[in-house]
Amino acid sequence: MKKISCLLLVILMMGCLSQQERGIQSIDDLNGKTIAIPGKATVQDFLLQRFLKDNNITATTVIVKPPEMIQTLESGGIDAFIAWEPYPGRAVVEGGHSLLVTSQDIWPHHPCCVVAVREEFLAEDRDVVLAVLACHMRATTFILENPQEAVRIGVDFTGMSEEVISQAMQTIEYVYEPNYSGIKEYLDQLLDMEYVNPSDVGEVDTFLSKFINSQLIEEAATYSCSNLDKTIRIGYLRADLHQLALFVALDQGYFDEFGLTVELYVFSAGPEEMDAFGSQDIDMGYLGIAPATTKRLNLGIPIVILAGVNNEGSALVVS
Amino acid sequence: MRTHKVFIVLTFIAAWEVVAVLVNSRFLPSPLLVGATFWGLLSSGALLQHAAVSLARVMAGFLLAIAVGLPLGVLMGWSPKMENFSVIIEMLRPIPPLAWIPLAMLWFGIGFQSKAFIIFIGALFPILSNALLGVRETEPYLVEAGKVLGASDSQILQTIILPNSFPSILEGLRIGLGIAWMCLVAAELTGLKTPLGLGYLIMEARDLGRADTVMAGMIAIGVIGYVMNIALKWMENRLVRWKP
Amino acid sequence: MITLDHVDKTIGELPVLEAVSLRVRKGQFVCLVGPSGCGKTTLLKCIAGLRTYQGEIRIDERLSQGVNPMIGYVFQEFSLFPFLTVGGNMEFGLKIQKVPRKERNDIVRSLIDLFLLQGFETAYPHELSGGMQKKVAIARALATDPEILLMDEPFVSLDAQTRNMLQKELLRIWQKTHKTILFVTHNVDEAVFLADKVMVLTRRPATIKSEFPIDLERERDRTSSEFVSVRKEILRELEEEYVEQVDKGYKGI
Ligand SMILES: Nc1ncnc2c1ncn2[C@@H]1O[C@H](COP(=O)(O)OP(=O)(O)O)[C@@H](O)[C@H]1O
Ligand SMILES: [Mg+2]
Repeated sequence: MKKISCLLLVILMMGCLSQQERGIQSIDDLNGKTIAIPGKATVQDFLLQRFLKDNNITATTVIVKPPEMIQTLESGGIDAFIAWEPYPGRAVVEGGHSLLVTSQDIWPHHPCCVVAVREEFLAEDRDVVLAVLACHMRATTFILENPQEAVRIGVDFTGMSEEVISQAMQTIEYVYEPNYSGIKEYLDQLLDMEYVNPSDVGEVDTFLSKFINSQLIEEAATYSCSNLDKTIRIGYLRADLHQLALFVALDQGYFDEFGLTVELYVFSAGPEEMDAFGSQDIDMGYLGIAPATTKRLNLGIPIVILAGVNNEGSALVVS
Repeated sequence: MRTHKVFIVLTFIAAWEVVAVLVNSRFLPSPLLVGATFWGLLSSGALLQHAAVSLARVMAGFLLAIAVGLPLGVLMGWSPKMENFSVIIEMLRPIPPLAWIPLAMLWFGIGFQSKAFIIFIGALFPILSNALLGVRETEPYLVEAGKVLGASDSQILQTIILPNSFPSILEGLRIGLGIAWMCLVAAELTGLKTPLGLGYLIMEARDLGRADTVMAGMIAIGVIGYVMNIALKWMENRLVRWKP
Repeated sequence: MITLDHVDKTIGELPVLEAVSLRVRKGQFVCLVGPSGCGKTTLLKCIAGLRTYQGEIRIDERLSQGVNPMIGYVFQEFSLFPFLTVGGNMEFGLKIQKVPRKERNDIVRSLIDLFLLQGFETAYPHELSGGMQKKVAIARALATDPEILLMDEPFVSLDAQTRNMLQKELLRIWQKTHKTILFVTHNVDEAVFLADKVMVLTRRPATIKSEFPIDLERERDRTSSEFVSVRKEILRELEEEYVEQVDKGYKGI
């Protein structure tokens, strides 16, 4: 009994000792630190790996759900985190933390979220897909033209303050064209990181030409129809400001104009959303290009990328 | 008997292989592929490292649950006054240990302690209530037999009630360890300070879409749980020879 | 010597014992018979100091207070400690009294011999027959050498043959050890076979209804006319209690 209690004490003490706090001022200070990512094979994981490699830094990455990141940073559980907006914005505005680097610094204009569709659904309900894309385009344009109004919708969507959302939106480039060369760069690096197997990819351009469909978004630009009378199941990530277009489209009633009813499905990270594509629980989804590509290849989940959603818009936060 | 079991396991694997071949999907990797992945993880030492970290977390929480649950359970079974506290236990008990994860992370961060805490919660209640039941269900005539033979209250507790409750206590430990092990994996599925542990292995493989690694991790968890259970059963048989 | 003077006992609202007065002399073998549920066990537990009561109970001349090392008790139930061996059960009281190990071993060995339990010293209770378990329980009570032995229907759940054998063995041990024995039973035949004196209890609340000295030579012949006639007399006394209970719509336990 005595031995057991001694053992317990030692274990607890070890736990406490490993929880000291250390400040990070420069990029080099990250060496040997613990950095949280929202999930393996997420865009943020991808960006962090690229950043660490470019700067020759070794650090431990751990997985923490974005809503818990700030709190974990403050409790000393991690030294830094990389996340999608508005979490970095919130950390700055509400927690007084700082952005060590933004994803723009890591890779200017890098693609991030995309709109994906299940292959099968595309074949069956092309009209619905076109309608969703048309809404997406309109909403993206709306954000660019009415930033004030977009902030309001962003506040509603994320439940965060106007200050946080305004700050966060400055780092996001809203787009709708799928970025072929950007996605190719992702794929190259995913192969490099051994997240995906060359044998699954085959010839890169052949794969990408099937994986990315750039025509539909062009078609959608002129698509019109008012009485589809269909329901579409769309997945998105919790409080991901990148995906604001989806909520602008809902807020502005774009889907209604096409006669579309939208069922929303929320996920805490892209890899989870990919599983929902795999189990055919969603038809279309907003998610990061990295998990989409990784799971498209590793699990053979049949999806096609139809549109871009945003470039940049992630940042590495230190306390 | 043993050959029977081996045969059943082999049949199961064969059936799995057949289904995997028929389905031919990455969602259901074949046992051959899973075996190869398992072997790869094992020979690289990664699996052992994950398992060791997981075991350390379980042991910390489990030992803590014993340290708290056993004395508390015995006390509550023994003293009618303390028994009133069982209201609290009965109210806390139905809460799934995993529901504590958000609080555990809030209170203890994403490090070792929060995992140990979840495991502690999971293992505590079976250990506590089995100790309580064992003590409370000691036949009153055994206690009276001790009394007429001159035993004091504390002697009765030590020489009659505790040994008599021992099988029930051991059973509680066995259930507690099983639950601890299950909680561990779930606790490791959320935030972690050290990217190690079998639960983490599975979560990472899930994010990467590697079903074979997920299964290899599951098998490791199953095997360790099975071995722990066997070990405790064996111990029980050694220690409680007096049970009919 | 056991002396009870107007002992009353109520459990909750239920009067179980009412003005019980009796005396068991040193070395005497007294049997108490009474209908089931009348309060026999309660009475023995009061004497053993396991229950509170009103009135006076004296052991020898001293007023009884709590459990008394002079009293050994054999329970109605199979009450051996299941986690201890036969030897462990027998030496339990000795260990409590901090008797040194060597002495304990000697006592256990002599008890094993006395009760003809050779070869079972390291067996666990569940490995023994019911009769053997009862013998071990008696041996456990005798190990600390109490002057008084209280026995609560010790042979009740045994088959007739084992029961007869154990009765004879008990008499043999009593004659050897000269203990004072108060033996509870609801079996009149057993009482007449064993006792110097049989006391009949009324239905609940129990009180002493009548006493029968049994002056027959031991070992008694159950078929002898004296045996049969005293047995009949006691049975008649006892049956009155059962009849009255039925009249009152009593549901026995
Ligand atoms: N702890 C108790 N609580 C309530 N009633 C009891 C308790 N113990 C005994 N009794 C009651 O007291 C009466 C006498 O019980 P007992 O002494 O065991 O009878 P006997 O041994 O003669 O069969 C019974 O009616 C029984 O129901
Ligand atoms: Mg009785």
